[in-house]
Amino acid sequence: MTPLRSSASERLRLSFHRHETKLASLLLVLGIALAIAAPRFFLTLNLALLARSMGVLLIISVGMLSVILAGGIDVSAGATLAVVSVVLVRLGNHGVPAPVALPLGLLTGAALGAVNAALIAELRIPPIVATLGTAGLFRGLLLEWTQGEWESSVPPWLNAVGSPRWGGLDASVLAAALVMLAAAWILHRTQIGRALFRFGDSPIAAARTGISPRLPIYFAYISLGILTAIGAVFYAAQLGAVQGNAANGYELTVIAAAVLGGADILGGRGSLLGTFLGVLLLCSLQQALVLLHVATFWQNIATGLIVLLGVILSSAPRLHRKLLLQQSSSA
Amino acid sequence: MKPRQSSRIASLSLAVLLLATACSRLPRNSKTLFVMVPKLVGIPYFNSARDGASQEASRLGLHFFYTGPTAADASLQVDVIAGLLARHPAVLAVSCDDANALTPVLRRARRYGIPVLTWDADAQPDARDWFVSQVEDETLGRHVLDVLAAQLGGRGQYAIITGSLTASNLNAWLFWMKKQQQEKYPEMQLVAVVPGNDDQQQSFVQAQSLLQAYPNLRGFIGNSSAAPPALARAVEQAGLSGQIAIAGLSTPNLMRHYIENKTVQTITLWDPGKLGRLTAAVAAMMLRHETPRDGMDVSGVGQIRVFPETHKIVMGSPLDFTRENISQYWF
Amino acid sequence: MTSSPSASLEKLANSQSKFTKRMMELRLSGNLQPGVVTLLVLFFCIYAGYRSGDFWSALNWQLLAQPLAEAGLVSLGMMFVIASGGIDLSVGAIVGVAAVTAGIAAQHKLPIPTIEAAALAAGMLCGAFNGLLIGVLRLSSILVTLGSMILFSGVALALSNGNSFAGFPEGLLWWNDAALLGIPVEFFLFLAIAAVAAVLLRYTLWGHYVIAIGSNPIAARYSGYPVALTLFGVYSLQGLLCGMTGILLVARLASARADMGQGLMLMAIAAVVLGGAPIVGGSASVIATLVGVAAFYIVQDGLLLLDVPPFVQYALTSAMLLIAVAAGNLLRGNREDRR
Repeated sequence: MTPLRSSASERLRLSFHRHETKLASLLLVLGIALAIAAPRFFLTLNLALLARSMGVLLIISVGMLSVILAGGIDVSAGATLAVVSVVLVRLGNHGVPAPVALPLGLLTGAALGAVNAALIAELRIPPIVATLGTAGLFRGLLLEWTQGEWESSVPPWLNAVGSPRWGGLDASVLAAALVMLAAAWILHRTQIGRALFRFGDSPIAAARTGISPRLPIYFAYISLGILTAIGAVFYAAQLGAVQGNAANGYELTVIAAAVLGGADILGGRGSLLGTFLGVLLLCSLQQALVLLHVATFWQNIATGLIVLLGVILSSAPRLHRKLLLQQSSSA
Repeated sequence: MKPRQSSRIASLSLAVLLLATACSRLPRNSKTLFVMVPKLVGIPYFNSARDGASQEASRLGLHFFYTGPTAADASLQVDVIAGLLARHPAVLAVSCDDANALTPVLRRARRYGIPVLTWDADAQPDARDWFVSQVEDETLGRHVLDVLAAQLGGRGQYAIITGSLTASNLNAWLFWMKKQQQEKYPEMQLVAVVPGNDDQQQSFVQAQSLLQAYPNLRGFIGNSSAAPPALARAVEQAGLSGQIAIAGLSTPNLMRHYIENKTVQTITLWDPGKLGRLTAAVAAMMLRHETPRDGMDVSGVGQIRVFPETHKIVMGSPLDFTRENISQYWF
Repeated sequence: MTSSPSASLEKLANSQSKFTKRMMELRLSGNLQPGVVTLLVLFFCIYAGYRSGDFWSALNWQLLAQPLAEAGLVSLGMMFVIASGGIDLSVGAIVGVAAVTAGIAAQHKLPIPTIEAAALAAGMLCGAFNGLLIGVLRLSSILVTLGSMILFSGVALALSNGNSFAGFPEGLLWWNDAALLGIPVEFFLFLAIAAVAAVLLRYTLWGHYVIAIGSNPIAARYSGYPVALTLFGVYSLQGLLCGMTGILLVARLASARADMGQGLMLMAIAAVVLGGAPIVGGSASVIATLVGVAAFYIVQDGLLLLDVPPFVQYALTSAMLLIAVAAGNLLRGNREDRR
């Protein structure tokens, strides 16, 4: 009989082979369609544009992945992004140099993440409710602080970060790559990373193997906070300005990307490669639709359908496992 | 244990609530209460209007109260106004998110004997006593198109990024822009009208994609204050400063950087602070049962045009901001 | 079940005895959250009434009743969804689809009952779509409704071409203007539906299935409960209620737009949770949901009348949600619910 309680890494390898290949094949189909219908997509300049549009989303999606792995969710990522962007730009515009402003920005992100984690771990508020509340709280307080004033310019060092060079790419692409590498190392090679998987899969079982219920939650949400802060740097850098209600609803895009990438919303399953492919799929779809001169309405419909498709694909392994569970218990 | 805990929590929450609302001012004398509602709070354009109105209102002896929805959502705005009706303001002035959606609640306000003004964006004529508009829609639309056409030499492809697709004033301007182009510049071609939803990031992404999708694109119009800075940013980052013409509506502060570095030559608007002042002045007139007269001079605003048949007041002509004059304006 | 009411609950018992007794015997054994919330809101009302002369005016409550009714309908649907262990992010989009459908029907000068039926049908269709994916294919509700939210909003935009519809017949707008004894008809409709929902929840087999599936889906499946059909019904019902809200919104705003009902999703989830229902499902109470919805709208309205700036309002109502849920958790004694 198939053993069900396999180790985290084994299960990971199993899902690795299932979902990511489906996603990759979906991308392949999209690529072929584009090659026929809109070959402009593959121009170097356009691909560089695609890479740049993916940078921020990818960085934050990695953070969201860790939260989803731990069995939680965070709908306050957009608000956090806005807060950190404003903090960074205001500090910079008031003459605070980058080596001071950047760590402060990261600290802000971490602090906001810690608030979420505390609400979930200490006060036992369910993640969706807690982050729903903090989203409103952060955003409301931010807008009250800025009084709706936008930052219409960013400090020169931030501008430099967001400017395209190296054949159309910018620093966000580099940062995203570094983040992915670091995340891969942390998730697979460190205790805390592996603890995330186990905790997400079953907090009770994880507790029995000595993982405190608090640590994974704090780790996941603070990481998301820090990564969102990093994303904020590039977000502000690319736009050259920050509006008070920036990134409204952005978290849903991030969640969609992570889920497309195969992250199981119940926790314990997901992969970085999948998240990358999910982000790639979403962003290339967006670009492709504009290149194909498709009206904006249809973009929503297409994106919605793709997300649903991704959900169906990603649930296949879980259904399979449920079937196995049923078989094994009836055996 | 539990009852004591619950009453402790209740009193703690009560204390928090009390503290939070302790900063609220005492209820006003509603006989001179002038309530101003923008399309949404938190946008510099409306903040300027608010400041102008507030100054003028206190000069005229009115109590000024400014509130609005936190997003450009007509149903939210209706909720806010419905809530305000209970305070029986002396005058109500609204910039409508949607002409149709706001009409029922404004009609209701008039039934309760509250004089209703619309400013910046109108409702149906029978729902308000006067409409304080900044510029004639036709004048504005035609003028902005002229600005673009001048830079394009009257020919070439162009695209328009607007705010929300359902905003009536934006759609009115769009209508006249298109008409002007069809009538005067038949060799120009409008390739796309896309919504930026008053979000810089969305406008930015749309602009970048449009540049890719239409390689012969020569010009952009940004129809709504969030779009032009994002457009300019996209053009600047694509290294096309000066090669792509940009026209549109936005505030000098948001566009200063791009006008100074010649990415944008001219940006059009009017002084929202003046509009606010005019709205307050008209509100005071309503309270004194005076009727605005055509050609009358309003302090701080200048000569206004009044159309008694349509109950419309027009503040003036569009204002162009260029490198020559932008230093004079700060909003 | 609590044995002896506390001092504060005794106060409630004296003024609203029937409600309190019901609250006690509800399946929210030990859930004092609606009580806590009611208390907080009561304190708030007293404070607001003291500081703002307009708070207790009939006009204020009349005006409040309408958006409350609309949000309440959606919250009732959300109550069933959450009770079954799911969540529905697409409610705002479904309301938009229903509104736009009504707009198109009105454009074709169809008779009023047809317009209303079209909107209800559109809502139900969307709900059924969700129900199919969640109930039959057993996909995760949060993900399916995330995707369907994007899909439906795209559909609404496409159908309406981004425009808003106007020119609705007077008979439809009746919903907005009509009032009985000064109370808007919308509110009575809402109460009627709430009563129906309560009956469905407590006295039908289907209601029992919903709760059972929410509290222990595997056991429910093994007990032979028709899980697929039940969930399909839950989401279809949600779609129907969204359709109703769509019609009411159209009547109140005399227009239809694709983005109507945008804020309703968060409001509905917050209202259900504020009422004390565990987000993981397995428990529901119509009264608790009513308390949640009322709390939100009353507090928001009060803050508006107290001159609290709009962003602070937003922050405060979010804070209220967090405080209430945390309080409810502490009272419930740290039950294990992570999601």
